[in-house]
Amino acid sequence: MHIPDGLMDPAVFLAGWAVAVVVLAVAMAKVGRTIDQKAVPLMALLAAGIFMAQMLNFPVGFGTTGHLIGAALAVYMLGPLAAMVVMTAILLIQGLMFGDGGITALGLNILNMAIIAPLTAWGIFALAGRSTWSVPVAAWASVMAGAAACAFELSASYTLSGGAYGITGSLAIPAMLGYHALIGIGEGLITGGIVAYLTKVAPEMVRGDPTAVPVPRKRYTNAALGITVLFGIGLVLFFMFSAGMGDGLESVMEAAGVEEVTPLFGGLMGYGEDYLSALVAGIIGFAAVFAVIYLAFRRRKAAEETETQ
Amino acid sequence: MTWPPMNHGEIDQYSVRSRWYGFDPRVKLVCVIGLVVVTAFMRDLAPLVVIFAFVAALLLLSRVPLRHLGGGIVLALPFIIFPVLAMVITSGPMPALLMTLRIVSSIFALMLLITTTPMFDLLKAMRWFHFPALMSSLLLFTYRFIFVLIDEMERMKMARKARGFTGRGSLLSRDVFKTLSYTAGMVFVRSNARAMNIYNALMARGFTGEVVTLRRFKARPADGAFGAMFVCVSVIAIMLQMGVAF
Repeated sequence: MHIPDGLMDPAVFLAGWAVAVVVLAVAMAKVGRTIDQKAVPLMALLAAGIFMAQMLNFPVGFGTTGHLIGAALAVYMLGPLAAMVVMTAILLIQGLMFGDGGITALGLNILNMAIIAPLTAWGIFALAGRSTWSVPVAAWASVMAGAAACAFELSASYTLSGGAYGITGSLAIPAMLGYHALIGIGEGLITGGIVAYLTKVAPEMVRGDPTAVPVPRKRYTNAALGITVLFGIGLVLFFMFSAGMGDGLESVMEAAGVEEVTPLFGGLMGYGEDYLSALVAGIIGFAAVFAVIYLAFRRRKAAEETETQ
Repeated sequence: MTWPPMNHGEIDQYSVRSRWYGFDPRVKLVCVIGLVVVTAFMRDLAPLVVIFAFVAALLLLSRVPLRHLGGGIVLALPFIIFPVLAMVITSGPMPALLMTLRIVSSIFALMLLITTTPMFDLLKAMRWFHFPALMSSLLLFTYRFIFVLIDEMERMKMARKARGFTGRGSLLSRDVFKTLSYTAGMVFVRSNARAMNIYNALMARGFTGEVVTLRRFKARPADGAFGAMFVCVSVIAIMLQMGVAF
């Protein structure tokens, strides 16, 4: 899901850049403060490893292959904030040094694969703990959340530009989610396999890592994470449902030959406004969720400081 | 056991003998990013054809082999073909053609930057524009480690192949996924040791986290001319798009 330049409407990619820059600035400031110089090569190793893993194709079936994204693996080994930084480094290298993924679209790529995907995985780890079954689930969910965000951006571009950019939602949403539901299974299997293998062969790389941010177990952070995960799952379901509904309704109407009902849809404009309001709601929702997570972080840090005093 | 040294095709392997190598990386970086941003806003045929012709001409003159450039396009192909097909169905052939031109021109512009500028010059230029230090040392290490990992991976791929592994199957093939994830895990374990050696060697040589290259950045009149070309093309494209001239 590396979005190239020229595919997205300018309004959408500018919004993507705005969110990505703010979130990353916070993440990098935090990571920069808590990490020593010695941890940088370890983070780089994981970044290079995930970069390589993204080149490792696995079979999906029907002759197609997919590849890893690696957000859940990064979260498992480094914690959420460092994972965001590492995923961003991977995207920068792919964009700037290998020409995979664009410059204007980099903000959106960061948002999908370096912010939304790791946050989703982190949410599941925080809720379910780091167990053998939570790893594949978190990996699958992170892929789905990223794909849903990507499909949403494609359809928003299409609607906002009146068909000059992006892909129409009725095609993009089922295609992206359907394909990535399968890709996500592969991601879950491989992430689970890597974690199990490392735990067995090199436990020092997974456990007792000085760079790992401990998963919070406080009640209010759990509540915030619950909201995030529900929001993510709800978004995915909403898209699946609305895409299915739209197609179903249309085909039913076509079959029945009810042409005069069409104005009830409000024509093209009404459809567009629907998506526009969905976009606005999505952005506000994301900002709200982000604010909740950020505040949870602040409170946790404050609580830790009072504990140590 | 002896093993051939790392000789993987790097994206910047032809940069030193390309025609655009001598130009200031800072100028190239700004020019290319500026042009890509302008391209993203274009939605008419005329300005897109102007931009496409310009970047294609610069690439043809760059002395970088076409086969090497092709690799960059191949990576983006899935995300060109699917949207363009969808666009043909929903909006007609013309918007699809425009979108193809937009995507391909942007990729060409990026290829122009990354195939004619050595990686470390590019990183140094980014640092000059106050790109964050943590991120640039992360990029520096990651880029180096990628080739260390490719080396390890190739070795294990050959070992896997020698034992009859083909990678065929589907999501239900348990053995395929077991082998692949164990391979990936082993790559981490082996590289961890090597990465720490590389890091210690760097520290012993006085590494501070800053990108240092022998090349001194110096903007010459020729760089001004290079930048002016990009500005002219961008202005012409914007004017064509807004219908101000021609």
